[in-house]
Amino acid sequence: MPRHLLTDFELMILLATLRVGDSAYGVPIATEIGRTGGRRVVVAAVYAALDRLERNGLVTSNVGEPTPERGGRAKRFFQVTPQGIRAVKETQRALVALWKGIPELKGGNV
Amino acid sequence: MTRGMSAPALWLLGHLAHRNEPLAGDLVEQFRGRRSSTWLWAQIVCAIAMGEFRHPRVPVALNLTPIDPIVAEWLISRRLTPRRVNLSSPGEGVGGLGLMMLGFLLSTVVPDVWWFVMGGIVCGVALGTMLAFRRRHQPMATDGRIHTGQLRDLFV
Repeated sequence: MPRHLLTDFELMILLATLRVGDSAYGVPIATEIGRTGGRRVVVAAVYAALDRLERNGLVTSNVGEPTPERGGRAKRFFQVTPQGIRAVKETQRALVALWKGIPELKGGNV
Repeated sequence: MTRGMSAPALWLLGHLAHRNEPLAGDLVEQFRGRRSSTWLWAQIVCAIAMGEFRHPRVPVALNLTPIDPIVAEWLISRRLTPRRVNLSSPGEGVGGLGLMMLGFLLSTVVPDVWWFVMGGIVCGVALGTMLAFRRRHQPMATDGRIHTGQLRDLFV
């Protein structure tokens, strides 16, 4: 199976989806990226990335029940697939390998 | 921007919602929670520009403004099914407005980038010419059409 290295945004989306857990849909994922990752994101960008990840088999989605506070519109819940988890780990390994042995990045804060 | 400005935004969102219900629901939920009209407008404009409210039966070039849903519904009501146009946009889901904005931004911020665009066009023409010359030496199918296998052979 070919290696699938993720972009930084895809990696953030997958990690946020894993952190949120079973109730992961657009808003909590975007909120988690902003709260933990310190990056403000547009909700549409989250959906665009999740659509791409779903096409690549890294996440799956299912539609929930419509709720009144959403104007009667359903949520779309996302789950990371085993292939997605593998892609996260591979990306982490690649980044850590690149990190090692760089003198400028050793020590305290710059 | 005052909260009163949210009415047209919600109207627009209501018209676009059937194309991406989860996203529309998320925006409504957030807006009713604590978000401002400015936030809602920004989210809707970004979503349209990113093609998240794109109608699959309308040419990409028409997926750009608030008139888009009206055009789409009219076309569908007339049972017209226009062929979807692939503009080979640089970003996934970027519609006609996105391309125009990109062109405008490039022209104003980094006009020199157009040299690369021109270079790409010249290279494309050169490659096409080269392939055409090579094709002259390839055996054609008996019906005169170019078949997949022949096209593949050109790149080998």
